[in-house]
Amino acid sequence: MKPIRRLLIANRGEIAVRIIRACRALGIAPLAVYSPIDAGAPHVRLADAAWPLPADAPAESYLNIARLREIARAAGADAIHPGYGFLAENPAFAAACAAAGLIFVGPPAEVLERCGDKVHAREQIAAAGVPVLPGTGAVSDEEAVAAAGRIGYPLLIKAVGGGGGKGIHVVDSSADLPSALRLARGEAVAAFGDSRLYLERWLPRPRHVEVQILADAHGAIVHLGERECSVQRRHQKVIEESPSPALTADLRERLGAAAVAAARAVGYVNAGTVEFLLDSDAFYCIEVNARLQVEHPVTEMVTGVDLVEAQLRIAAGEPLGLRQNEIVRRGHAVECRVGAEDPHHGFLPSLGVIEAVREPAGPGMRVDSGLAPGLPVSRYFDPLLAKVVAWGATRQVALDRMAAALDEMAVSGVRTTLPFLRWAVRDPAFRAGEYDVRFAARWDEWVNGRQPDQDALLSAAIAAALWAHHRHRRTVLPRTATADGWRRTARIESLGEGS
Amino acid sequence: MKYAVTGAGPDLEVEVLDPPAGPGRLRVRVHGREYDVGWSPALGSTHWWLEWDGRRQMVAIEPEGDGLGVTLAIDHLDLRVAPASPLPRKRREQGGTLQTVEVRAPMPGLLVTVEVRPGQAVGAGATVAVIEAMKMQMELRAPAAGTVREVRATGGREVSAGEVIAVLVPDGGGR
Repeated sequence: MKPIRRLLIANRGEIAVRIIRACRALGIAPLAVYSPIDAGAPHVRLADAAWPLPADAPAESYLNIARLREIARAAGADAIHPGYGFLAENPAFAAACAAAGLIFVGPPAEVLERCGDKVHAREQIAAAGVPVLPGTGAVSDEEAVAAAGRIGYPLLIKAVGGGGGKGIHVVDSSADLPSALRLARGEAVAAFGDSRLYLERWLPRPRHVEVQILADAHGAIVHLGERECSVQRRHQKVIEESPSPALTADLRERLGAAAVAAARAVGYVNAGTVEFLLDSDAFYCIEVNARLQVEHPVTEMVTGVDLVEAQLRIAAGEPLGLRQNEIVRRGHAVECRVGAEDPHHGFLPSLGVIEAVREPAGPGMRVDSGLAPGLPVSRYFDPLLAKVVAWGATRQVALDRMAAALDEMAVSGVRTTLPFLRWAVRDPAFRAGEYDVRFAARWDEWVNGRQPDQDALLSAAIAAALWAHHRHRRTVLPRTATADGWRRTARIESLGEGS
Repeated sequence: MKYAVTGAGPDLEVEVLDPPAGPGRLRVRVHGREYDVGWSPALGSTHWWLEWDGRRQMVAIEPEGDGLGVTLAIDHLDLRVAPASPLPRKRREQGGTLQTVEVRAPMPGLLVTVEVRPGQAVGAGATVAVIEAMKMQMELRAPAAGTVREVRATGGREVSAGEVIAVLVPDGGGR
């Protein structure tokens, strides 16, 4: 056992902030790195010290293994936490850390290798008696065309080295296969540096349910219950909750046992997630995610277990000290991901500089955020800005708190997914817990088919007229509530002078 | 001062009356009805508190081309607002007789490849270019079958939102 005293965090944004908080709870010194545009980011300010990375492109910054190793040495770090994405599931990085005498906070390199080879991992999991979906191994374009006929359309193209929904494409017919393969290979290379792809049967309307597991280096494995992650856009989760409204007590128990069996089959160590597709009461294991998930806070809220703290303890060699029957889940938690995407224009990335932020608070609320005024939102990084998490004694209470919190939150500088999230948590089907992976697509129908009501039209028209009135008037009218407001109004009006 | 607001269903005339109702409050007339309206900055240069008819809400307003993008809690409206005056509205001249269609970048990002060259015939939905941002790749497709008239960007370069990548002459639209 080797205690961790100084932890280098090889990540950015909200997850870097989250890891810093776990360090503070354990008395570990958190050390940050940052690309040039992240120089003023919250994780840089909250850490004990921060080191610059040469450029913004991921290969030069948060994927820059050589530079991260140098920084770890210079900083006197004894461990590195990769967060999620970037190097989190990169066996070469885990091995490089081990070779340099650094603790990699995550599974050992060989486990990452095993889980990252999704095709092989699926075979091992199936051999352990856990149901899996039919599919192929890594295939060339020619082999894909041949195998597609056997699997049948529609089917999924997935990246062998993938994760986080990147590089996944649904193909409806053989005519679409060549261009989908080309796009998927392009994305796979850009995101993972690995062009290998495989095919998998596609279920039309499954629910996506995953199970959090913790495994120590001494053979103990427990699960911390499930997360329902069926609200997705482009195969990226946007709303997650725990417990899943779709599971019976019996199904929940079987899913938990299957997750532990799958984790054992791949020799898992540290915190991980076993993902399943649920088709009425049948479930299929799709993969083991060998990292801390974005949506881990919902599990923390219902179990009271600090998963990042658990990761650090496991990485240091401590035994779990937590038996399955000691994990008690209480109440209901839901998480909404606020991203820099424009929900009214096809969720296109919205780039810019964060001007100001208002984050919600209140009973049962938690906001994990990487937002700060002046932070550039660039094309280099993921659009995730902040995660709003609500806990309640019941699902109803948690969703009511979430709805109010989303109304409270505002971000100036880029467009965000907040309008979509506000719509989703008020949707009657979502409120009833009756939704599947197709749910989010209904937003597009809703947005395109909807004529905003008279009140909304009038509000927007009045607001537009008052905005124009402010720009066109030389005198400041009306008097605003704060000095800040005065300055802002004055600035806006002066901008309007020239036009 | 009267403003004509267009773009969301029937055109509206919103009159901002003098004097204002009080500090931070204005008087507004719409559809012949007068409202006492609260209007104050809420966040940054984009978000405002709007309060009328007993309801307070946050509204985000951003200039968008020559209009305004107005975002309420859930809804988004693209509006145009101008001082209501007897001046006739400018009509955009129809340029030339050759009809063209522009393929534009829908978002800022890296133009990965341009797959067409001038003079090439393309079918409707054919891939014109591939753009990448935030690790997501997106195909820009030809909106109609036609001939490529012009290619204005090359692969490997950053493009901004709305930038014209290629210009097509749709079949049947020439001359």
